[in-house]
Amino acid sequence: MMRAPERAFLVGLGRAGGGALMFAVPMLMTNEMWALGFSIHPMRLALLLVLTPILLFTLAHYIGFRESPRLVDHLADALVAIAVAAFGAALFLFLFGLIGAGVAPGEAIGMVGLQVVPASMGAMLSRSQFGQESDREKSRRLSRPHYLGELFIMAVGALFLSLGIAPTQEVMDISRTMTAAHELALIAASLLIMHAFVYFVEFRGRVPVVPGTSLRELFARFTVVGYAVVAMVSLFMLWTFGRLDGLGPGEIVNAVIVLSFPGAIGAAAARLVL
Amino acid sequence: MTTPRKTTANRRKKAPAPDRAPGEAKERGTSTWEWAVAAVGGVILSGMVGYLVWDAIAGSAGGPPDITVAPAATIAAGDRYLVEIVVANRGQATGADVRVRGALTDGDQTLEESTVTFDFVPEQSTRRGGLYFAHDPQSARLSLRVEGYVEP
Repeated sequence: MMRAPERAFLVGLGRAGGGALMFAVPMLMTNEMWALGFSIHPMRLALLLVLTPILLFTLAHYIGFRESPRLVDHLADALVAIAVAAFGAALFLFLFGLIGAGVAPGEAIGMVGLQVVPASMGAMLSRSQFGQESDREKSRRLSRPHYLGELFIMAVGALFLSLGIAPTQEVMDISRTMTAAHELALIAASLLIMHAFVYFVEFRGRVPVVPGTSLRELFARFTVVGYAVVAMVSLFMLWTFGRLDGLGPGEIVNAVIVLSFPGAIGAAAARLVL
Repeated sequence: MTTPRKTTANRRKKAPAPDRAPGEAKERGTSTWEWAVAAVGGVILSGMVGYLVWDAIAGSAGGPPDITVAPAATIAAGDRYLVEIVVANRGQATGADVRVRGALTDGDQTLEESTVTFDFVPEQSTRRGGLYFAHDPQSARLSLRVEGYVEP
C-alpha cells in the first residue's frame, strides 16, 4: 500500500502530464515546431528555456496553486512541471518517429526543448484548470495580484496563444497580404476584443470591481498597456524563432501586428481564466 | 504538484467560507518525492541549456551544410526498380528542400532520370528515401547527386 502523500503526488503527476499533453499537443503535431528544433538559433532557444522556469515560478507565485509562504515550493512546482513536460514531449516525439536513429542529439534537444515551453505551462496550469475551481477562485480573490502581476498574467496568456502560431508560415503570409488599412483595422479589432474581456473581468467577472474605476481608466490601464505587452511578447517570439531575420522594419511591424491578434485574445482571456 | 484529492470534497462544501480552514493539506510543503522529480527537471533543463549554449559557442554556428547521397540497396519492385538512398549532412547547418537526382546511364546515353526532394536534412543527421527506375540499375551505371538546398 502506498501512503497517502505519495499517492497524492502521483495523482498530481498524472494531472500534470494530462495538462502538459493538452496544452502541447497542437504544437507537438506541427511541422514548423519540429523544423524549428534544428533551425532555431541555439542561443535563442537557450534564452527561452532559461526564461521558462522563471515564468512558471512567477505564475505559481501570482496564481498561488498552493498557499505555501515558501518560495522554494513554487520553484519545486516549476521544476516538476518541466520534468513532466520534457518526458512527455520526448515520449510522443519518439512515438511519432521524429526522434530516434539518424537524428542528431542537438536536433532532438531542440525539438524537445521547444515543446517543454507550452507543455510545462500546461503541466503547471492543469491543477487550476482541472478542478478546485471555487478554491482557486477564492485564493485569487484573496491574493489579488497587483498591477504588475496582472500584466504578467496577460503576458503569459499572450505567450501561450502565440507560441504555436509564431513559427508558422501563415503569420508571414498574412502580414504580406494585408494593406496598411487592414493592419490598422486589425489593431482596432485586437484592442476591442481585449477591452471586451477587460470589461467582463472587471464588472462581471470574478475579480472584484475596484470602486471608482472608469471605463476610460480601464482602457488605458489594461487594454492599451496590455496590447503593448502583447506586442513585446510577439516581437520576442518572432525573434526567438528567427522569423524576423532579414526583414525590414516595416515588415517586422506587420508581423508583430499579425501575431499580436492571437496574443491579445490570449492575454485578455488569461485574466479571465487564471 | 501534490494535490490531495481526498480533501476536495470537503473543500467544495466549505466553498462559501471566506478563509481556508487551518491544517488543510494544501498548506503542506514539498515532499521528498516532489523534490526528487524537481531535481530531475532541473537536471534536464540545465542539460538542455548547457548543450545549446555550448552548441552556440563552439559548435554549429556558421558553416554551410555538407550534404551527400549514397545508394543503400536496389530492390526489384514489381515492374520497376527501387534504389534506396541515404542522404547525410555532415556540415554545420541544416539544408531544406534538398533535391537529389539519380541517373541511369549506358555509355554516353542517359537511360532515365529520377528526382526526389527531402524537406529537411538537419546538421549531423541522415535521412532515407528512394528513387524508382524502369530500367534495372544493376545493368546500367547509376549516378546520384545532391543538386542543392535552401536555408530553412
